[in-house]
Amino acid sequence: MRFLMLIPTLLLTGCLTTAPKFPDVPEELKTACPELKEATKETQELSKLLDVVVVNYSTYYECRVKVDAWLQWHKEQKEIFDKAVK
Amino acid sequence: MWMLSFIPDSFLIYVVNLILLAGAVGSVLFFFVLHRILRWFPALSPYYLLLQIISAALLVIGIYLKGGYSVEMSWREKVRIAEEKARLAEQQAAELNAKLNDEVKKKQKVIVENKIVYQDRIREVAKVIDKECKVAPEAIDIHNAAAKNKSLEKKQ
Repeated sequence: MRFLMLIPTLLLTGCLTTAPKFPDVPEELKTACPELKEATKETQELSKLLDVVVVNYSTYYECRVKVDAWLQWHKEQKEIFDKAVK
Repeated sequence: MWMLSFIPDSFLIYVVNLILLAGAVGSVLFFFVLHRILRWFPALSPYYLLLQIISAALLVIGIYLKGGYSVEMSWREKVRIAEEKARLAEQQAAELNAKLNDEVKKKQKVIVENKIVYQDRIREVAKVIDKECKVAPEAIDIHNAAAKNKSLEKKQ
C-alpha cells in the first residue's frame, strides 16, 4: 500500500517545463549608486566647494548611466523573453 | 503517454510497428484466411478462437499505440522547439549583457576622465576663483543638506 505513494511522485514529472532561465544582470549594474559628497564645514574657498560639486555631478552621471542601462536591459530582455515564450 | 518519453524513439516505433503488424497480419489470417482451413480440424477450434481474440486485441492495441506514438512525437517536437527557443533566448540575453556591460564601462570611463579634467581646471584657476569670493558657512550647510537630501531648518 505504501508503494502507492510513489504514484503522485511519478505524475509530477509531467510538470517539467522548458522556459528560459531568468537572465543574469551585467556586473556593472550590480553595484548601488554612491552617496553624494559633502563639503567640510571649514571650507571657505569657492574652488574647494566647486570641487565637491564637480565630484557630485560626476556621481550623478555615473548613476544615470546605470539607470539608463537598467532600463535598456529590462526592455531588451523582455523582448527576448516574449519572443522565446510566444 | 508521458511515460513513453523515457523510451528512445527508435525502440518505441519498432515495438509499436511490431504490435500493429502482428495484429494486422494475425487478424487477416485468423479472420479471413485460416478459418476456412482450420474448420476441418475440430481439435484446433478452441485455439483458433483464442488466436482470433489475441490478434484482434493486438490490432486494437497497435492502433492505439500508433496514435499515442504520433501524439508523443508531436509533443516531443514541441518540447524540442521550446528548448531551442529557450537556448536562443539565453544566448541573446548573455550577448546583451556583455554589450551593456561594455557600454556602461565606456561611459563611466568618459565621466571619470571628464571629472579629472574639471578638477585639474579648478586647481589651475583656484587663485582666480578664490581671490574675490569667500564662501559663507550657510552656503556649505545648504550644499551638504542638498547632497544628503536632508531638510533644512526654516528661517523665521
